Amino acid sequence: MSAVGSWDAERAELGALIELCSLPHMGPARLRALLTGRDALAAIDQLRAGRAGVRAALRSCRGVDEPLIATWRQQIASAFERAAVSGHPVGADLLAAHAREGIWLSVPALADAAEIWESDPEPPALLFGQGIAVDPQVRRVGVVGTRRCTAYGRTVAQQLGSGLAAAGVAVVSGLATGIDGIAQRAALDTGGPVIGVVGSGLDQVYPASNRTLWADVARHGTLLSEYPLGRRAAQWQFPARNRIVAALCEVLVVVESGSAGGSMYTVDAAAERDRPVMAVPGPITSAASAGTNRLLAEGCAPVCDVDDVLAALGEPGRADAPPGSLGFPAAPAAPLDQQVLDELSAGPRTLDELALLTGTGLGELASSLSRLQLSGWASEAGGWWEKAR
Amino acid sequence: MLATATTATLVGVDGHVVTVEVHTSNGLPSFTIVGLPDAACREARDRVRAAVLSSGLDWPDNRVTVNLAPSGLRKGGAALDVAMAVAVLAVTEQVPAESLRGKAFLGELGLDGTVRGTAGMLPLTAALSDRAVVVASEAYHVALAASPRDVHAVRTLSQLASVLAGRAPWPDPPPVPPQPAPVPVPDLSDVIGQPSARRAVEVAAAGGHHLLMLGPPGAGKTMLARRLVGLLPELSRQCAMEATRVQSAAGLPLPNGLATRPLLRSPHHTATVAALIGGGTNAIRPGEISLAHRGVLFLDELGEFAPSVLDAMRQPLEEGAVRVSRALGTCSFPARFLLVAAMNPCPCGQAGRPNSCRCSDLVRQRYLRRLSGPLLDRFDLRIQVRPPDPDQLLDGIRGEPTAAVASQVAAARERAARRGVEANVELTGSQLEQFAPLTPAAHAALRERLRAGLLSGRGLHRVRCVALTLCDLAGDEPPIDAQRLAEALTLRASVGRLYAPATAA
Repeated sequence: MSAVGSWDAERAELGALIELCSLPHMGPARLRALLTGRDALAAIDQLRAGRAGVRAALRSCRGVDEPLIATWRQQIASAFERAAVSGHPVGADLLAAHAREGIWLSVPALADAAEIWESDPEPPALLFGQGIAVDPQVRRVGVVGTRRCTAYGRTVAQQLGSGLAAAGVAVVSGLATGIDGIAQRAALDTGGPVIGVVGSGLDQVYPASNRTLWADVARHGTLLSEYPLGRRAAQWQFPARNRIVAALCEVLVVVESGSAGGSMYTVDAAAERDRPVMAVPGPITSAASAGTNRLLAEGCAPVCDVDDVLAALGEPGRADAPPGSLGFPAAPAAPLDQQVLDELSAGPRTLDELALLTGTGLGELASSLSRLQLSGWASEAGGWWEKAR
Repeated sequence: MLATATTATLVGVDGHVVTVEVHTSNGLPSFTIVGLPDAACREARDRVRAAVLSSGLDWPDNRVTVNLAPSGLRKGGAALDVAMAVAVLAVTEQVPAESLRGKAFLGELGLDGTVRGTAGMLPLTAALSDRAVVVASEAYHVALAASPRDVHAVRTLSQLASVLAGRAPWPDPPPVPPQPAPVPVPDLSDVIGQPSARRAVEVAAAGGHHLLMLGPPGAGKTMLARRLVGLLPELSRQCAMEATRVQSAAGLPLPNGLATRPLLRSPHHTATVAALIGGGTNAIRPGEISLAHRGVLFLDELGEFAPSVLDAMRQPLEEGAVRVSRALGTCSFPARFLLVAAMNPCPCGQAGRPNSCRCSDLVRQRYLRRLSGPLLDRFDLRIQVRPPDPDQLLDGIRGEPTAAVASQVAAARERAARRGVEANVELTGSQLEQFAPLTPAAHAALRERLRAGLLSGRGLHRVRCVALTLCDLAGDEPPIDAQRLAEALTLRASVGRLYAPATAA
């Protein structure tokens, strides 16, 4: 990318870039192909003119065919028409629309955090952000995991989120359901810095159940996306999002993941970028820990404590915390409570199963479960009781 | 010439007295019925005339007009046939006009003069309780249940004519039908390895608490519902009358007269609002919720019912009665029933088991969203029913049989009756304060749950009510201790907070 001279030239370049980003089915790989060896202004002009060089570069990307290029050219032609009518440079209307929503744009190669992207194999061409700009001085840890987490994963994600936040470390995550969202929420609640990277336009909340979290991250932390306003969530955009999470974090922690989850993509992307990957051990009977246990077997560092993560970052641990624990509550006192917990160790159980396994009446069992639930040892969802620690 | 006879017609589940006036005058032979008869009633023309002639009696060869008074009331059904026939006999002086006085006639006529029973014999007879009611033999025991002044049973029109003419005494009433061999009641001891389901069924029967069962097909939900009916006590005379009235009006068979056992109604999930709540085009008929009055309404596959149908049930659930308004008029039906519902929590059959259920949250939520929060809130008991473990099935120890539990249920209901209600579910908040005090420990446990956001204010009341029923079942006196309370909480909310608005999400 050429050096930017005056403010106007910078605006023109940004306008062209945002116009390219907004093309349908335009993803990071295609943008990279388009912008290799030419800046955005040149790229948009050449694409508009249908130059052979640009076409060849695009055709080398998977899934790009002539009809798609034709659609893009049509789109660009109409953008130029709009620009001609309004008298503003191409993309000025899109820039204004983003500015109205309070969204800032960041060209990673030029931004303050440029060193993060310097050696990245697949840097994003343009990032859309809301909230505070990424501060390279703040240490960053990625906390990711399955969307279908267990009560155990929920507890660990919560404690990691709040523990990291308390240490002033930013939690980087994907704002998905499950581990990602839980860790972010805990970090926010503790008042720590958070960076959320999403796989759709910043106005397209996905999943919709995370709307509040999404807004809170945008208000108190950093919300980032590679996609312009209006871009809907699409399946291919999530792995692409995961590579940004991997690039942004200095250490990646996988809390819970199945053996073929999306988190594994983040792990691969982190390994590619030489980011250390750590995993939280889980029961070998739990499908939700199959991926993390495999990572441990392959030599990943285990996370048994927030301090383990802080140590990997080279940060001092928490002096006040009891050593080697995520903060356990007092062990259950009643023998029945212990028996129930033992049964729950093997996996989720229904009330009926517990009653038959422990051989107690429903009344006694119910009071035991109630004690365990209130003390945070067990949790219940959809009629299934799980050990939460 | 003029003669009158008294009968009754059915509006909803109530009988209304109708006076049949027959007038003959000179003119071409004809037979007209006026006074808002419906199709079945208008067809009485042909039945009555044929029955009179087949009985060897004379039909007037001049102009016959029948008026059904009050003329503003719609008359439906064939129960007015006999009254029309005897009034015609009176106007032609084949029976003395005075013989009809103080009597009422209910029944349909066959072309050969046979007198038949019709739907609604109980409410019809009840409306005529100040006179001697003449009914078909087959309807004698139902009519008797309404305890009118006197009931006479006849088989044919000619028999009736002879009695009225003073040529014969009233025929002997038909013998009490032999008690049918007691239908083998499905026994509770068949429930193996499902302690919470079993417990919930007992509690539902004892306290009248509505029960929601979540579980995959084949987990035994229908089986549990059938056993619940077996646990319910015999209906009191008052309740039996109310229930029989509706069942009689709907034309359900009532071989023994009064229905003393609670009924199990299980409509299919394609049922319409009219089928469930009541309604209809030709007459307003009671719906399934009224047929299940004082009994059990079992809705299998609750999630498959149309949401509008389910929401229509909310108000009757609260009030114990339903008013159905149609162009034909407005009817009030009793609808105090025990609602038992079953549904599948998700399509995969793993019933949401963490880590095993392959259904996406979206699929599960879409399925559960069909149930409105207010309806779910009516269920005091919400339990998971899972197929029993094969080992348990093969060598499981059988629990208490129905007979033993039924006596506990009856005792619990007696305690409720001492509080002035039929079952604990009817207790109001202030009554609970009075009858269901909590021990300090239970109080503390509740406070902790409310603080932790695991229970809402609305849920608090219902949990206390279930805990009181648990006390009643065990034969303990309140105050309610922490263990009872924990059990009540578990029985109420073990379906999970996703589905249970009573526990804060």
